[in-house]
Amino acid sequence: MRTIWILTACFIVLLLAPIVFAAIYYKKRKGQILHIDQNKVRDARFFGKSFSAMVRNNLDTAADGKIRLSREEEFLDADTAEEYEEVEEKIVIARTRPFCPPEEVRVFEKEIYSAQDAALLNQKTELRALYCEKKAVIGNDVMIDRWVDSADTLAIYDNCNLGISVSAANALSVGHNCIFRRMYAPVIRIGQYPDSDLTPEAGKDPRIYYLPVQMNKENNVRYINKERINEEGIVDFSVISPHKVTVTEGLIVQGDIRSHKNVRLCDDAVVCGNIFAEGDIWLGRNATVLGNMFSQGSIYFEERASAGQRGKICSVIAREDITFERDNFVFGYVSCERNGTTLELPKEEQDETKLPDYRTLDTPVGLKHLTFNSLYDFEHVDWQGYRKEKELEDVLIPAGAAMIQKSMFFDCRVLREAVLPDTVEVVDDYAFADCFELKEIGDFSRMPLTRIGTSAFENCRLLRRADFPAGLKVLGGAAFAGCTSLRSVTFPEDSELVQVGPHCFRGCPITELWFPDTLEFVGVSAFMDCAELRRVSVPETCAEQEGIKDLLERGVEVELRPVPEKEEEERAEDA
Amino acid sequence: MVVIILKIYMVFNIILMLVYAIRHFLFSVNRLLCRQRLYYSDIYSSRMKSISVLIPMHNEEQVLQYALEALLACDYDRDRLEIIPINDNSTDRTYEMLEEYHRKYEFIRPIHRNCPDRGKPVGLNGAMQVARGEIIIVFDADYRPAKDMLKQLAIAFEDPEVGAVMGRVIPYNTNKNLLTRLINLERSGGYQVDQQARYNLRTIPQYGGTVGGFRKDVMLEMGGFNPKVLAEDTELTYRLYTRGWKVIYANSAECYEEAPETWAVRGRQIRRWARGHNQVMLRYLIPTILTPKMSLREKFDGLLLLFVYAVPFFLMLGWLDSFALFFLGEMNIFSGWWVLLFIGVYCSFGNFAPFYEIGAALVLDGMKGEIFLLPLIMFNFYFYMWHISLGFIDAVTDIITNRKASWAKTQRFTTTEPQPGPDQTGQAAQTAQTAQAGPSAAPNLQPGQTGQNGGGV
Repeated sequence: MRTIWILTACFIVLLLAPIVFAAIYYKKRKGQILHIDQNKVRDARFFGKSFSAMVRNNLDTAADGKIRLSREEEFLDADTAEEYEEVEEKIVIARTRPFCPPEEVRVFEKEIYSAQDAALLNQKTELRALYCEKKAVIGNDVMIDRWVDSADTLAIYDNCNLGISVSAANALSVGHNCIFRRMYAPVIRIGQYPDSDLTPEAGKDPRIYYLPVQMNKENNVRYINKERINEEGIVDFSVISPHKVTVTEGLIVQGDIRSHKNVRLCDDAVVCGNIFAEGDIWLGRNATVLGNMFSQGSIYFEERASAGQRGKICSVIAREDITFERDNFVFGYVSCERNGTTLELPKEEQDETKLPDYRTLDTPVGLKHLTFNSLYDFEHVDWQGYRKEKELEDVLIPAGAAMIQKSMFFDCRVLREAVLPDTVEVVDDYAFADCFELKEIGDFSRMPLTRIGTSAFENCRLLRRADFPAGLKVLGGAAFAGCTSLRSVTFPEDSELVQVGPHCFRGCPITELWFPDTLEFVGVSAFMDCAELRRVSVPETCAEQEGIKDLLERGVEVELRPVPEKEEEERAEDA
Repeated sequence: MVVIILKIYMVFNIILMLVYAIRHFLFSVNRLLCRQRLYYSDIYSSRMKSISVLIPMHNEEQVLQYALEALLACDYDRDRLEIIPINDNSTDRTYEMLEEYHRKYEFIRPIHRNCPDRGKPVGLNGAMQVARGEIIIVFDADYRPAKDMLKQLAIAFEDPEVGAVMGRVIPYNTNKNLLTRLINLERSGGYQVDQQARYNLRTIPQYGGTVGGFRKDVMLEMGGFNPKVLAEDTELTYRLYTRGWKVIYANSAECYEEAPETWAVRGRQIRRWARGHNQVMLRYLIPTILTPKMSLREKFDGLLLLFVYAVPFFLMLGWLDSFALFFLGEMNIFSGWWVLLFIGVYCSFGNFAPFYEIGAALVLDGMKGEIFLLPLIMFNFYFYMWHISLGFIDAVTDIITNRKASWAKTQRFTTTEPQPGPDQTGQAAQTAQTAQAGPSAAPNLQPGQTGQNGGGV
């Protein structure tokens, strides 16, 4: 009996013990809430930007060889330093002179900040991290422990270990026999030196750069070959396949490729969209992918193969390895989880007697003046247009153009002049939004405009007047919002304007406005922050429109004109 | 004859439990020891698609500003972004507040619905008709997306095979009471292990109705959401898979949410999810088996996933069955090596397979201390079993009687202060009513189930 009691007690204790322990833990300890960094924004140049910001913000505090960063650090002033240790243990800061350490220094154990050019040309140098405000060059046999970033261009020569990340704001070149994990720059030349005159566009069909990616799909395809091309010689669909997919030589695929196994592009093949593969991706000689490449396996670039296109950012991501043979281009970001390598030059091309001729990489020249050879070229421009072209100053749109496509020149911040021909009927959404310098756009009144889309000219701060044609029916939301110089807006008496979108003229210094009798809709905040607006004339049918009610509340003089009966009758008939 | 049926049911029940137990052991092992598939978050691209963010709302005056402010702070090119709050028959100040936002921001374009036909699916269908984006991203009004959330979700659609993407939700009011502590564990297991393992194994990660997105054209082509189905998110998952699309899971796209703070509210929520999920099960059981668009492994896991909200009901019947057999003196079903089955079943019933998933998730999330709370999950287990069984009966009744399920909202307990982070832990909460439309998180259900949005198990 006693044994039974003991066993019963043991059973109850064992049964309840976990619950008791759990209850005690619950009472004594607060739970953990997983932390989400709400402000995190991914940036391929994160290391360089955060370090340089920290240094710049604290340079004023630098004194007696010490600077306050995340904690107080000793630093070496490279501008005045005459001697370096062989193993330099301090942060190095160069402000006024290019940073070029003497030969005796072998190891930089802490970060280097250079406000001028930087050159680390001594073989076998090891460094932890380098940020350079201007051009940087890294010579042969340098080992980077963490990262290197340049606010302009970065040239890296042969046999280097590139640590976790190398990046540049404008351009990056990486030589032969290097090891990397991540690389970023708008233009990356891989297996090349800075003086290389190769261009990725050379010898390629120019059509590939403006073909819109086709979303119509074909499934279960194994070979994309000449049997599948259309009359223009293009494969005009995307492919989704559980099999290995091979694109044969010289074909253009105007879509994406998704394979559950491997993807192989034979020599000179082009894919205008993205490639996603569960297995490996192999690019043959001179093959091109204009979109992103993502592999759960490895990616291999043969000679002259390239990813992306000038002026756009794309990514090449591999779960395992990425290998570049030579003379490759990537426009954007490269990342692999395991081994990234650029291959050694073939033995017959190596010349060990020749001393390296180190030089910096030139800043790529952006597109400043844009003209189109023909209407066809304009109408078949890439669907992203020229959005965010940093250096574009003027554009001449060919006669005959009927539409400016959506976001075509969005955020071209220095665009001053965009001459629209007298044939434009539609300016689509965001076409010129955030073109802060845009001053000349042509005379709207001579165009057969029917619609100006949402935010089409938003924040064009230098636009002064807009004389709309009679045929214009729709002014989209925020079409001219933030045009802080727009003082004159006129409509002809026979204007057919029907709609003024919300926020349409927000913040414009207009003083007086007249709208035709055809007007039916005036969106909310259409005239918000138009501090100089004194008088608005609209048909009385618009009295209840949100935009007009706003004006009445603000005390702006609003003339509500009676609509002539004839027009009312016509409207009734139309209805 | 009756005894034979009871015995056959017992064997069926045991096999069912074992299948689910194995499934979840596999998921845990996969997450802890196997190779992980990369998500697309590393991709930088200037080809990002245009998106419309839809936020269903019903009486959200106390929370909507935080969601909208968070979205306004998001990092996404504004020419490719619009925000559409869907004001669904609100009677508080939601209308006025949304109009005020529209006054300030052109690209916040609210839709106001004042009609008897309420509900998240109907609201989303209406909003999709006017949305300009190629991709629809859905958030609930009490969610606060982080700055890079929109990019993290939208980048998935660069893959031409992806029809929908699902992010991860994390409760921020974890420390409110025991229930929220336990829900936090379930969420962790459900997302960190269950969803991610399904993504790794290329089975069926589930779209969860919020913190996720889908292709608008595909959805419109399929006729939009079915307003008769309560679990419109689960239905979307199966609709996509049976048409050859995939759903993928973005573990790094994390978003805070509020977990229910009372057992009554949680019970109703679970019952509604069970009802909706089982409606989907009854509709998609045959299509899932017959479709040529799904691989064998997708079909197998898809079927198991369809049954997850039915299994607790089967299990409850199994218990009644065992009582009956015991008192009838007929428990001698097995002998000899069959004891192995009993051991397996004990491991499923007694240890609750999702414990392994939750334990693995807590290790991966770096919250090892919370493992001590695992025994208390037992109470959730019984609680959920009851409510899920009721939901299962509701769904079957819906089918038999052709009854239309009405949309319901979950009571919320949100704070009027900005969202607490981990260091603030949900202090000063005030009760409020907000629209938590549609089924979302599945609870810790049965042997082999852990909670995540969309009732994934």
